[in-house]
Amino acid sequence: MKGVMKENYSKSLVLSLVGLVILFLLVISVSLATFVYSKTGTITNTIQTGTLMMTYTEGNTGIKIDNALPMSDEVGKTLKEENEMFQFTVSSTIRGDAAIRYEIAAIKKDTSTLSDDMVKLYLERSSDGVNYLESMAPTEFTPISEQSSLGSPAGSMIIESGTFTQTQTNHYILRMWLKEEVTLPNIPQQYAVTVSVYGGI
Amino acid sequence: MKDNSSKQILLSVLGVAILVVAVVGVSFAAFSYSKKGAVENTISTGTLSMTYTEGDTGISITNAMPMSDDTGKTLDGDNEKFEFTVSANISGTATINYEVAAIKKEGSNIPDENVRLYLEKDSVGVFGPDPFTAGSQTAVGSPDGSMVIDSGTFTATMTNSYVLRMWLAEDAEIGETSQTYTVTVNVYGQA
Repeated sequence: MKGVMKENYSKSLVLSLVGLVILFLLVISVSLATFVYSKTGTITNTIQTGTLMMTYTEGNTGIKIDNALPMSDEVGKTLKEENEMFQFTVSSTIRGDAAIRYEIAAIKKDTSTLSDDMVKLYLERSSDGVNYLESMAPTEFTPISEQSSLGSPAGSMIIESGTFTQTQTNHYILRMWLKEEVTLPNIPQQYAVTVSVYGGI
Repeated sequence: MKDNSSKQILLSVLGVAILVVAVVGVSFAAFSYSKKGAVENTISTGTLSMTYTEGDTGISITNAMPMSDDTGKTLDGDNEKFEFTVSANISGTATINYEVAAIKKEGSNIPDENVRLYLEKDSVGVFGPDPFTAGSQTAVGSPDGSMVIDSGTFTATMTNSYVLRMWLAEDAEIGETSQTYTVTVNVYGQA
């Protein structure tokens, strides 16, 4: 009697367990199958970069004046021979809402033996390459003591700074001459600069 | 639990810090431009110099006697004439204006009108014979009280050779006491 009861109890237990498992599985299946939905969207969401570019283009020839004599600013500003002026352009290409800050720096070469206060630099700017206006008055070379935030190096002279907010080209003419008050040295001396351009946003 | 909470806070802070650095890094890298020019712009001075060179001896005439201009112009002894040169060294297109000026020394007590000065340049008479006449300061630089005895322009490297002679005018009267008359020569130039 006891043996039969035990056997029946075991069977019941097993059946209960199986039933529970089956029930568990059924519940999950039902839960999973209760709701399924999918839809492919039609709206595209896009990001695209604009265009941000700067270009510095030098003219074919620069200033090369031999046997230079002192001259007044009025005369220096009107020097017009090919070897008496340096022409270059600084351009920006901007698509989108951006602004490029830029600097034009004159870098004095180590071979210069004339002192800074004996030479004047003069810069003109034009938007069309034809009509030029004064951008920097005749000024002695005045170096900056520290590198600027845009990168003009210490010891250079910033001769122009500005901001581009759209695609455009600025045309420049640089002139350089011996100051009127200079007493010529007994031995030949020289002064040489190059021009570099730095930009950033 | 406290330990977990601390770890979570630390991780959060670290995450935010990394995010900040990433954002800043992206901002700086967005755009920068630099281009160094290659064209060299140069001015060079030429040579511009002047030189005044005096001879070894000057005029030193003692017991001077009046003489005619014709005689005075031909004085040829070492102590009877003063030789000097004025040179220019010019490269390029430059012009130097120059003046040769006689400066009468203080203590000269012979009246100006009793003395004659005569200057030759490259063997050609360019001044006098004339008495000393003091002038005003000039644009080239000859000072007040000097007398310009020659002026000119150098446009190229060259040397001018001068001979100065000085004598008592023919009509000068010799006084009872000894008198003297002394001049020096200066040269001034300007470009």
